[in-house]
Amino acid sequence: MDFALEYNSNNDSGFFSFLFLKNDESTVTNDPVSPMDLKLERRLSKILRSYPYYSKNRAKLKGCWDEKYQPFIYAENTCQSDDTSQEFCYFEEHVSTMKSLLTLEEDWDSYGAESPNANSFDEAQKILDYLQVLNFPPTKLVPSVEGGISFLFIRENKYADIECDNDGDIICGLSDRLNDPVIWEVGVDKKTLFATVEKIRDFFGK
Amino acid sequence: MTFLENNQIPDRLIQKDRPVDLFFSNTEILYHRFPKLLDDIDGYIYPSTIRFPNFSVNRSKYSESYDVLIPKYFDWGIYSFQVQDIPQPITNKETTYEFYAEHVPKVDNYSHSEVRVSKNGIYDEGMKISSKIVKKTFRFKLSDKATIIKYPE
Repeated sequence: MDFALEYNSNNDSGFFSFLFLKNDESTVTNDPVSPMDLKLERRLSKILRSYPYYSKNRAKLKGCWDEKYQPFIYAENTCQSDDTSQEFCYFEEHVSTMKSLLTLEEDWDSYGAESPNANSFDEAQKILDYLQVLNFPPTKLVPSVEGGISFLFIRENKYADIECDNDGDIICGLSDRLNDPVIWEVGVDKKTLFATVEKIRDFFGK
Repeated sequence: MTFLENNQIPDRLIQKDRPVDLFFSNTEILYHRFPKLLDDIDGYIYPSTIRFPNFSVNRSKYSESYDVLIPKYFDWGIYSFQVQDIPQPITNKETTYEFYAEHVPKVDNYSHSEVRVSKNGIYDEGMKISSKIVKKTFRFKLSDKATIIKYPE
């Protein structure tokens, strides 16, 4: 079951409140939270506090319950049109880059590379949206010589790569350039993407 | 900038009657070009720039680094790695993939070689490698060894 909620905080008092928007944002409920909801609220608060992005006063969140009835938030909307923060600008640039990659011609690397296709673009779009939700901008978006789009994250000697290939698959890797890289395939479901981004953040110690 | 004199391919690249040279020393350098689109961010080559499997390189025994830009890529970048930097075999689900350099001269580029992959000891030009983990591992390992020797202009 999916859920949607509106989250409000008062930074002065540290008070959190959640306005549940049950499944459909048009059915807003103002009912008092039940004991189960209070338990949920504590869980959500813990999640929210772990992301700097949620320090903003207001956010609309969407999520779903996992098999242990833990909330898993997969989308939110706090970005205002007048947001000129550095992070917001990063994402604007990446959106522009991604669109430009669609205009690449075949054999763009002179060794026969395929240009990114709709499969890789669709998955890359989802990842970019999700990275924006988590306020975790990649360092650069580049086409892959194997066909697809890669997100590069670089911090000092470490780097991570999320590659969306033209088959619609997503492969990730981490490297510190000294030890063997860690490579894994990623499912395209939101929960797995969330875990992947978390793994990369942990790798960079953020 | 062009390295060609009178638009002629340098003599060192013309095969003539020279045979295939199967021997590569571990320290021989292999060159590959890359476009500005894949320009470095911090001086490193990243896995998205590395092909897999079977990609073309020029070998240093019979060419200069910039020969890899012939005939029309003179503003592109060049990265290189040594033969010994080619990743060690990778075994995945009872299949062993081995990687090696092979001299594949062309009439107008004697230094032309390929980095190839064999599957359980067998090389097949049209072979498909289904394991994306193996592909990505190879590309990561090689990118960690590759060095940019000319930046795209």
